[in-house]
Amino acid sequence: MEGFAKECAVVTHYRLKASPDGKGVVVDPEAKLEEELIVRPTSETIIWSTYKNWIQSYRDLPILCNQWANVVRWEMRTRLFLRTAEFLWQEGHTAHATETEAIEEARKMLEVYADFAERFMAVPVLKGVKSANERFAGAIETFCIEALMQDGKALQAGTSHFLGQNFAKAFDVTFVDRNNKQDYVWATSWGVSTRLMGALIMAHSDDNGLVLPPKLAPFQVVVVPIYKNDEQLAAISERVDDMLPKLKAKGISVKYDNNDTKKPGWKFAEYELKGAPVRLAIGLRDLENGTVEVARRDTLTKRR
Amino acid sequence: MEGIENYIETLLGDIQANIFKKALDYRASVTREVNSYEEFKVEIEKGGFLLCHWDGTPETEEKIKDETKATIRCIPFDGDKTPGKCMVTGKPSARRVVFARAY
Repeated sequence: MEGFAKECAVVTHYRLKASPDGKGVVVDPEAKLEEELIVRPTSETIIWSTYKNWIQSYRDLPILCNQWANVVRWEMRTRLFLRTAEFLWQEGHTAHATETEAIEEARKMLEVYADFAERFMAVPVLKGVKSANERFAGAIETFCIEALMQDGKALQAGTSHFLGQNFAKAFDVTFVDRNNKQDYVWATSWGVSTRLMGALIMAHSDDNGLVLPPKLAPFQVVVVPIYKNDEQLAAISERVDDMLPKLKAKGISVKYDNNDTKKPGWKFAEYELKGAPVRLAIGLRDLENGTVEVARRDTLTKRR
Repeated sequence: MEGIENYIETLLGDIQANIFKKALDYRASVTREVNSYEEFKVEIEKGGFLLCHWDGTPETEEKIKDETKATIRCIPFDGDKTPGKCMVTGKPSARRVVFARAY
């Protein structure tokens, strides 16, 4: 916890009450906590006090806990997605019988993060190790992936720590090894957060809005009908109804936007803003010719 | 319209590859070696990753941070591992490390 001492949110009261001046509510001084509560900046404390109960022998190892949780690190200057006082993250904590196994685990998780960033987010990352100054408090080594945003600034996108026996010693977590000798366990921890959303947005977006990689887009294809009256819409919808199952059979996610309250031009701008990778537009002429207009979000190019 | 599902399937793969390549090309275009601290102070204003020799001490790293707001992003696993001289102190450097201003 000491590494986060300067950025911890501390709960001191458990209740509000009506303000004496009749305007809104104020902290009830009667409701002061006897023991202050620190909102977790990371989960090592609960994980390691639990590991102390779970681990006795080498047979209990290795052990891995993975969870998604909100954590709080008080920030004076917040920045949406990149640095928020409270954020959702994924954190993993492992304990091992040997140093080698723990180092391998930390490196393996870094590869998992790098693979996700590059193959799914389409964000290239540098893999490496942090200098002592930038290392996680309590770690022997901090491995990281570093991305570069379009404005030329770097963004740390994920970290994986080899903790040595530091946390085991701090929380007194020992095990009996194969030779019946008592030793401290070896550990790792690793995490990524909603900051990855920031990385994704800042790495690909342009002046028209988001550019989402197809592998992560909520829908990969949006279909917009271009029509003047109900008959035309019905005819286009019939053609679309025939096409959608074929796309879905390929595992492609599609949204057909036949919302009658918005004009096609409005929809085009909206889906560009939202970063839909592919937009299909179908009009009367397409029905006659058996064609469809295909627009790519990444290059903003169109073809029939 | 005929065979559109195959066309879209290929297209989605192309888009995924294209945006990755675009980001990779951009990174390559703003990643460069810098050999003197004077040059570093100029280059850091332009953004990107700067590959520099560093003497490995927290003091030098701190000085660079205080004077330029740049930090060592990482000591990369890959890349050039040729030894050299620290751009600030001239002391021996085992290899180039990656500097940048960061979020």
